[in-house]
Amino acid sequence: MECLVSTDRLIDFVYLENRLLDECRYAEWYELFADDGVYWVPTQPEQTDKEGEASIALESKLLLKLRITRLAHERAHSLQPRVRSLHVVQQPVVGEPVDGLASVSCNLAYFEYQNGNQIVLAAQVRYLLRESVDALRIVEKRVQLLGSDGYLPAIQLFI
Amino acid sequence: MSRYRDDRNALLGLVADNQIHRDAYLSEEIFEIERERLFARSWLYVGHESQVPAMGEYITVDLAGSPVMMLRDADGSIRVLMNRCAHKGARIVSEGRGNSGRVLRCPYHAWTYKLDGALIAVPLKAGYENTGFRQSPAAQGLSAPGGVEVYRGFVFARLSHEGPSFREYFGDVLQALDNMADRSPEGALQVAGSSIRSVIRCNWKFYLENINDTVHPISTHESASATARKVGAEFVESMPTVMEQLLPFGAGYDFYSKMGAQTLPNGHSILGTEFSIHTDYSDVPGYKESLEQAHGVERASQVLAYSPQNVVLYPSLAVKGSPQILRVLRPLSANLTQLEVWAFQPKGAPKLLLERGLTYSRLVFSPMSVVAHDDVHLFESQQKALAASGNPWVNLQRQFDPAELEHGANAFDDGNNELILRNQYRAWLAMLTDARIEEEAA
Repeated sequence: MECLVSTDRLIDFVYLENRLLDECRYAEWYELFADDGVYWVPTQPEQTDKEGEASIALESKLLLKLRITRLAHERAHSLQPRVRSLHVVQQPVVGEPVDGLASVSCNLAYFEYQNGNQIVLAAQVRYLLRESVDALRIVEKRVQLLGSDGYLPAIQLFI
Repeated sequence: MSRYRDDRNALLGLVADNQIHRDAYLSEEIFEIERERLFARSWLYVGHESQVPAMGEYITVDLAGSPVMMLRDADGSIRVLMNRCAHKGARIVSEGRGNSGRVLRCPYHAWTYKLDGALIAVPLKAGYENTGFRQSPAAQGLSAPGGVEVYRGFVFARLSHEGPSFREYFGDVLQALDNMADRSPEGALQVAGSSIRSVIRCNWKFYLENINDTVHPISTHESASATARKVGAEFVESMPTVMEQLLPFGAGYDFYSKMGAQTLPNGHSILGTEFSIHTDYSDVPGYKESLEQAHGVERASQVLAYSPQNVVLYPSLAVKGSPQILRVLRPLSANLTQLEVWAFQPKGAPKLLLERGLTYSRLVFSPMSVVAHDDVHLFESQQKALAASGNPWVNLQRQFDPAELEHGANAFDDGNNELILRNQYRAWLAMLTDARIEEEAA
């Protein structure tokens, strides 16, 4: 199927999406997801099965909302002291459309810091995006961690 | 400096009737002693037979510092062998899982073994003639643990050649594995393709204690359960599985006070003998009928009614029969613990059962779980803050009764009774100070 979204728009979208996370603009970030959108972090490098195989995260809008809402809860103990994140994004690359959805990917270095302890995770991220009323919406954000099948520390914010 | 190894009284001083000394969690010497006297002599979970369905298939795991492989032999049996070439110690297989084919061949000098570990070929064979090679340890092939047992598809090993038999060690707690297997109309389970894996900067015992800690969820997990209630109201009916699994984390102290618990010899326990946060999961259409057909009405209803909060097969395994999850602890040092979370599909049962297990694993046990985040944060804070000067004790005194010291097994109503934790430490101390070990060493 032909995909009419321009390359520049897709690339700009990826940078914006990552910036919203680093600036803790979670309400705006949440709105980037389509109603049927999912945030997916598989355990296996070539994993295609979301429901029948283990994932580190597989979150619908409900679960994304839950995670975001908890961030502001006064007794979210694990977030004290405050956790900060930084996404270092490599130039995104536009791929072939998938099931009529625009596809764009980037390599990512994700840093998460709390109280003198920093974790660094490498990932390849693929976005499947749908055009809706002049805005792009995420149908799937797939975060393929380089070490997805290894033993991982707690990852508290969104990669 | 060795403070505990040769001082039985010092070890005995770590476990009082109702409190535990911090060195049990912080000391690397204690961790080494645990490896030798507790982990090596108890039965540790290796894997599930459905991970290696065909001949030559293997997985590798670390068992208390020993690299082992679990594989399927040519005759269909399960073997557990040290992943260490008898020649010079190189690893035989390098992948986490794979297929070795008909033989195991070391990549270093091509020493070759049958799938049961017997040495069948070495290069330059003539060079070993008249050297006494046949009597050398190398000629005996790959080492195996002292004991291997496959129970209802679950594979366990005891590293040491000394120690209790499998049945003697686990006893009545095996009912939890029977229950999980019997959740399949075929009596067999299929493991999900992979596990969720975490590394936590805390002593393994903090994690294991918490599995039986009914008093923490209401305060520790308040942010997760309160938020689930709030957000759930906005998304009514959209994801019942998620809500069904998260909302019970808000259950109060009273809920746990009637759930029933049982402590067993060797540190094992069953929490939630009457009911648990898993009891009210909705029925899956057609599932009950298929179990009745397979096991009979009575056994089927018994299987479905039994859903403890957690069953601990001390010291490495925690079982949730529903929603079919195993948690496996692989301790690395006094302050570093690896966790594997495995979900299972009961063979011949609706797919929804596996999805429940996988959903629960993600929501509650994954490195990105908002429930686990608060647990891990507190375990890691314990590991650091216990070093504080002053009080060196971890208190486990709730509902302590001196009469409990006389019994190897206890059944009681109140899940909030910390006897279920004290029982772990009594077993721990008995194994660390077992006089037979000192005799062997002498």
